[in-house]
Amino acid sequence: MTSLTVARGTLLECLRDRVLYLPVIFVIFLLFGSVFLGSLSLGEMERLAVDFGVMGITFFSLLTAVFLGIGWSYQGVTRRTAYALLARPVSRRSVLWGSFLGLVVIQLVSLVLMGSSWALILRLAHVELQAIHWMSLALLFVEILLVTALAFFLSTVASPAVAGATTVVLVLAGYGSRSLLDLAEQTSGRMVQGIAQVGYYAIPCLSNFYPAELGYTAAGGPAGAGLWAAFYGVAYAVGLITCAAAVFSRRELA
Amino acid sequence: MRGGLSATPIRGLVTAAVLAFGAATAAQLALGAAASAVDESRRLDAAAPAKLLARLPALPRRFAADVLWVRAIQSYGYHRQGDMCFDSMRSHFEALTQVDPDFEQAYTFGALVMAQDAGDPESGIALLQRGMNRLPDRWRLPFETGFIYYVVQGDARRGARYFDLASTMPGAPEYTQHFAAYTYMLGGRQDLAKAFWAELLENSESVAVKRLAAEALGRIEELERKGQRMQGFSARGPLEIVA
Repeated sequence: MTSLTVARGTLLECLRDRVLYLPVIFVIFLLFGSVFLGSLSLGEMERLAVDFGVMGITFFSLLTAVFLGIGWSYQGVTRRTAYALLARPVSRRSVLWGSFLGLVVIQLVSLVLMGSSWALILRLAHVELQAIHWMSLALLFVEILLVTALAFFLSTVASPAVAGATTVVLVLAGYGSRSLLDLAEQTSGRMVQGIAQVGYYAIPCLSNFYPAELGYTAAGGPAGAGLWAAFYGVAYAVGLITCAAAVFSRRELA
Repeated sequence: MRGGLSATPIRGLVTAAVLAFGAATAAQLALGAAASAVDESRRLDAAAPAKLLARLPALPRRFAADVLWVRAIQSYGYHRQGDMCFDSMRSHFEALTQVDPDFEQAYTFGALVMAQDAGDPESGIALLQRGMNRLPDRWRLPFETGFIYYVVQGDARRGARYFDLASTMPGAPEYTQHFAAYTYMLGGRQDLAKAFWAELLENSESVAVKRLAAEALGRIEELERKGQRMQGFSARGPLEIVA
């Protein structure tokens, strides 16, 4: 039994649990609503429809990532559904990687569904998506990968409730982590500077996944910045899952 | 037993649910009546925490700006249909452009509302100046500055300078040159007006514009021959110069 088999099992379990039905349906309604709201905005229909779409998809995707990430620990360990899997000839590392992969694939499916509905709804409203919007969705996928990995890691070291709360706090901190660099520049105390800099590199910098933060506009942007952001997200997520695998492989399961 | 046990509780639950939803709807109606008695402008015109919102990361900051934009439009519509008091517009658009300094339409629409509806062209021009500092390559910002100087304040000379500036920017439509040419004429700068008209006569793709330019040039040359200058501002608009 390999990680891929576990991933397939996780994917089927998510589909059986109908985890993503409600968020996806809700976002599709929200996208229709954004076009309606845009039509009331005095010439800024395109901007509002696009922004509300990005915001809605991002918010629900991240929420789902947090819940799926911590839900794995709840389902698998607290409710002992993983025990049946662990009784088979499969390493704990493979179970963890496979489960993570399954969750990532289901979120990719959900993102593709939401993204294509968004493009279709905007097209019906005569709004064309530009390259920067597709780039936003691609980077959002990397962000989802990272947030799921973070929730996954935290759920292996803490209870689901604590892991969930900590993930949400770290996600919020991750959006503002660049302020830590500003703090380091503005302060004269070396210790504060050091702490701020360590915090900046330790907390996942989620603003990396927004093209506007990387200097992109509809006209273009810095070459390679998007790829660097994707590389950063994937590397960070791999690091977190590796740590989670290390913790999980030594964990005492009652 | 099967029918007796399942049908009665469900009927009871459905009745209870209908009654509960009915009660909630009645309460909402009462709340709606109470809410309509409250002055809506207090909600619409409450100051936005612009400094705080401006510190948010890019995505939520842009979203906050969108919400402030819809709120500003709502407030404008509310006052336009009611008391015609537009004093709050300045704070709406200043907060909005602070939260998203790249929101071009917020500068142009906000300035127009301040200048024309609120009767405060200085604040409108100040808003546009901030916009021009932030977005120096957008032709609409100097164009509208010129428009406020010329149409609202009756200052064709200053208006012409901004129309001229707008006409040199990327993507500026041809009519920015018409405005520059007209207002230079009205402001007494016939030399510059002549240059603009000559440019239009030579390069415009529109036959109507070429004819207009030829007429304007003829009029300027006639004035020059007579040793006169076109002076002053006409409230009837620039077209009378070639009438």
